[in-house]
Amino acid sequence: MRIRSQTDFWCGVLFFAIGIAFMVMARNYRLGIAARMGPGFFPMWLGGTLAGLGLLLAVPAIVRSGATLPSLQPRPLLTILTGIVVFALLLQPLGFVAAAAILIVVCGFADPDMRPVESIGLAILLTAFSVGVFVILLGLPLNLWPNL
Amino acid sequence: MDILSNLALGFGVAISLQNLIYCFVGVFLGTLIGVLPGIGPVATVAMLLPLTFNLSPATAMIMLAGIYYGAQYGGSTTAILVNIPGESSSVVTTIDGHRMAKQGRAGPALGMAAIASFVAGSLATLVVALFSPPLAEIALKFGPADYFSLMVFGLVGAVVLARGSLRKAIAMVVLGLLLGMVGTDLNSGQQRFTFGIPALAEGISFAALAMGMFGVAEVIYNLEQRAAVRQVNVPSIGRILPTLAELWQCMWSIMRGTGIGAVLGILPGGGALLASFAAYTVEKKVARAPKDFGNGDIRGVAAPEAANNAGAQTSFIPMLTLGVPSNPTMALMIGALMIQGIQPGPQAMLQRPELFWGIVASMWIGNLFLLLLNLPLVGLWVRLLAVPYRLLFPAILMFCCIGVYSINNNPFDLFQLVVFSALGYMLLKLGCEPAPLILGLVLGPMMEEYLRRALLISLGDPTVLVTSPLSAFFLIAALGLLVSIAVPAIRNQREVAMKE
Repeated sequence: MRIRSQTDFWCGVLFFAIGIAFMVMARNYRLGIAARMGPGFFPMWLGGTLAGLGLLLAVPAIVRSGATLPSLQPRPLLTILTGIVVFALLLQPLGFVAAAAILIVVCGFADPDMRPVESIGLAILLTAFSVGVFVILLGLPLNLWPNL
Repeated sequence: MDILSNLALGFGVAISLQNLIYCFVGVFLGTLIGVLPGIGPVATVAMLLPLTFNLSPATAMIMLAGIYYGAQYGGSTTAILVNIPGESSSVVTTIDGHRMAKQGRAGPALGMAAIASFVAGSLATLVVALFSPPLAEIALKFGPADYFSLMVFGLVGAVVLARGSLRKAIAMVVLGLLLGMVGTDLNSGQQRFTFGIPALAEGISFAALAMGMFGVAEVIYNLEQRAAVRQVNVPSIGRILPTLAELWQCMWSIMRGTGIGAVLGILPGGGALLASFAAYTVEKKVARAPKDFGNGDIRGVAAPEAANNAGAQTSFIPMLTLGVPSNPTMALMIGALMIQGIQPGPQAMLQRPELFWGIVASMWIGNLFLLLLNLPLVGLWVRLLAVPYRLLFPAILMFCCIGVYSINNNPFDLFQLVVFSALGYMLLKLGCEPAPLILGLVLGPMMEEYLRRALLISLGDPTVLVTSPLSAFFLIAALGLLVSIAVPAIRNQREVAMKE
């Protein structure tokens, strides 16, 4: 059988799965009773509600027509997330200046039109701007250089 | 008179050289980042939040208010010049504003937007000053059940105003509430949903979530829609100051817009979006030549700009008096106050008058700076917009990363940013709007706590939620909102409204 409204269906499935996951985890916490709510009480209710809403979305979507899943382009998504991960890993060992410059260069690959000169120019410019405004002017406590 | 002495106290707090400088820097940076296409006030406030951590509470709020107004005005600039609204509240401005820009009248449109914002902001600040203290007095009488139901009402408001499917919006609220459960349970000390990660003991980083969903996810989405953002033609500006005739023409539009915005801004979930849309619709109804609307009528810029700025001011009222945010930006403001060790609400407001009145005074100062800064600097913003998107998006990413990291100086928060960017992108693709989720995240722990207290007092009897008159009123109002949206006629109107 073909699912008619792909977007709503998968959206519902996602919410259902998240709701159930929270309920499963909430079982480890004491539920308590209404008059003395334990740490598991509210999350359990919310998880059930979310799972229910997920079903309400997914089930009608099987028969009701709607949007098909939008196409994904992995390039911008993966490049930018990689850039941020690299920044997170390098920030403390290498210091802000190097990590920021690398962040910009990596993220530049998200756009195929970006020329290498632009990418490097941006890295220098934006790093300098951020150091000037955020660190020197506004006093954010960022380590600028590698910890030796 | 009481209010005069209070305002004097407020201006005494706000007008110090240091505060004026921070307010100015806030307005400038807010506008600068708000002008970047696709970046609205929420992402801007989240990015710049860490800048306020070392400041005293009053100065921090003054700077944040400046950032907020600046970001909103920056969004309008982008809307008018290149037809890319940064946030839903400037969608309406694109209708006539961008048409004016195409006709070579971008200057007067931008000038009128600044003037309308200033007039509306000044008047709405007075509204805040007049109505907050009595409201706070009332709020002191709220019991836990009343608070719980008020929050339900607020969340339903946010759901009703979200674009797209109602069921998705409700699910996003619930997901937000669930994410709010992550961290240490205040009552039992139990670590919930932390997977043993110490950094999660204090809960999900609010700023990381806001920036991931409103900033990074948006950038990724824009990079995919290649043609849409690439071809940006910035029109010429011409004179900026509107003529006296135009000012005269717009005077009543600004007044009506201010009134509508001030009222709707107070409503939970409403804020600037509903205000600007309603103001535009009203102008169209009362105007003598309504067919000009949509073809570059300057009243179509003045009214919604006045309304969204008035709404932006009055949305501070529920935040300051009740501690309940009416929109995601206010949720961030609450986050900022809590980092300063202040739990917003009636107690804080009545016990620390200097903070409250300082904020009120700085609202007006922020609006003044907005006007003074933007009339001369419009040219600079225009040139910034002429820069292709591929040279702008790395700046957005860098500011997001700095913002997220600086809150705790913990690289783990950056991994949270990655996770929420991916989640936000996925939800964006599935047609779910992030605003309800963010409100849920902030309100989650508070709602749990109030529900716990309400049920404790009633010995577990849930009817306490309907036997307390205030609580019953809020719940009925929430139900009314939900029902009204299920009625086909109104639903259609909402859909038309959201499409425009």
